[in-house]
Amino acid sequence: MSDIPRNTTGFPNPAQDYAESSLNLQQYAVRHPEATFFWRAQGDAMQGAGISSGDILIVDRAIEAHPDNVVVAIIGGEYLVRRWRRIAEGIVLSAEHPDHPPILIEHEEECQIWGVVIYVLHNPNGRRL
Amino acid sequence: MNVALADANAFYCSCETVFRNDLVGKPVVVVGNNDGCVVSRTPAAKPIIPMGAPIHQFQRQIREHGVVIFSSNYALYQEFSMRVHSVMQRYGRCELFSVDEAFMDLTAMQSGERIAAMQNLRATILRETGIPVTVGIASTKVLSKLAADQGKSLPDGVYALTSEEQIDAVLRHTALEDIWYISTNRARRLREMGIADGLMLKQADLAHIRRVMTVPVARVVAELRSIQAMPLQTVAPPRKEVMCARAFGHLVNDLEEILQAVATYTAAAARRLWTHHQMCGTLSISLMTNSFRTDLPQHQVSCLVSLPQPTNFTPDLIRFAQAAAAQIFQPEMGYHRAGVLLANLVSDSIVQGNLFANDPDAKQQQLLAVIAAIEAKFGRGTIHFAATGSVAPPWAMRQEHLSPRYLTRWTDLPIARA
Repeated sequence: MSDIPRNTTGFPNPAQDYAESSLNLQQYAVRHPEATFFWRAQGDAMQGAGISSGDILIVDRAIEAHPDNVVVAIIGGEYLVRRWRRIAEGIVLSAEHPDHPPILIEHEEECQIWGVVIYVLHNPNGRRL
Repeated sequence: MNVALADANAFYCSCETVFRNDLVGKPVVVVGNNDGCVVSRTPAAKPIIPMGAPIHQFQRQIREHGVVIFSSNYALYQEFSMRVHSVMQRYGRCELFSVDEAFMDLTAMQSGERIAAMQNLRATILRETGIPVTVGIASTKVLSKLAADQGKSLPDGVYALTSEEQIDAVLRHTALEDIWYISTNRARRLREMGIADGLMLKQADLAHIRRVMTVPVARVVAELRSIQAMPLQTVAPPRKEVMCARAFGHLVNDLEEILQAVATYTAAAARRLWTHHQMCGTLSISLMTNSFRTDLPQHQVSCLVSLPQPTNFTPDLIRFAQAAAAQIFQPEMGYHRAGVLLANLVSDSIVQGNLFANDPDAKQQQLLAVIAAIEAKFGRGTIHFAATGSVAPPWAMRQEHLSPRYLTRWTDLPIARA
């Protein structure tokens, strides 16, 4: 197998005329490939945050959760999507739906942040992705 | 103190519990092919079922203790393995030794910084991938493995074997079988020679060992004495592109012939991707007339294709390559040479898949592995792709306790309650 002798034949560098590659959503949405996981949301508690049941969540474990970030949190072995905040009394996980009151966790060790939701993949026509 | 071994704790079980936090701290086992024997156990399962035990003999214990059983979910373990290795490579040159172990060369680090760096590595792997690892630091591979075994019981999971006294103290309590490369058979023969534990092996007469045992055993003895006898096999930096281009030997103006050549070259280039566990993001096809034949019309053209997702699956690559070639081909030209360039190479360990493409198919990778195996056994050219290859049926294993393929199938994504 030999390389194309570009100098002798004047063969053009194939990349030269096409210096730009097409947009790659994976590249855009996944900044930390080792730490990024896709989840599926189930339930309507986060509707106010733009997350519908069946949506795909892109969750990054490499970044730190800031107050009011939407996160995947673990409580009692269960994985919950909620907005996270620390207050004097403990940790508050808030939903964005009138039927779901906020949850207060007084002992921090009972709540673990699994990762931060960085993007939501949602089909506006209601079809499941 | 310039070799580290990172060893994932109960790796298969750890992969299973990343998405099953309810099982953390519980007895969990993973069983091997055809649901036969225990291949991985969480600490809570250790007193209940021995490693390698056939589970059907432990039905009572499993029921009584509520042991959770998983079939081997290789797609899941492979994904986690690649993520862990990928994090490690940020810290230094690595030898990826197995699915759950990797050696690292620490020579580039200040000796005072090594322990802290490995603590940081361990914390980063755990935070980013969810997989706990133990790191052993020592002056040779064999000792680093011993160090990692010691570290398993430590809360911070990093153990350094630094002084001669420390090494001897550990070796005195180490069974021969617990030393790397010392199989049950070799241990038996060593005992017959009067060598009963790790320390005695370290102090054994090297010349005698070399004479009566195998060379690897002699290397182990050297490594126990802090003499590096098993150099780290770190991989060369990955290549950026793979090219396969050839002249035809005559001028070609038949599209079918061009397409066949392009398929052949694509297959050859793709084979190099598999060997290096890479995938390509773009593919370029070039066609050239003979520039020396000034009497003939000249045409040098190339076409770059951005693939919908990185792949090394030969049939897909051939399909794109042929479509591109057909697009740029001009019938009135006599082509002299064609080339295929696979570029934007990435490790085949990339993430779960592309948002807008089909599954990065485990079946495809299986097929490639089978082809590679046939080629290895019977030689190249004994098997080849028809221009439109179809995927072989998946070989079925008995997997009654298989967990979802969280990281490789869109239908199996973990569920978070909203």
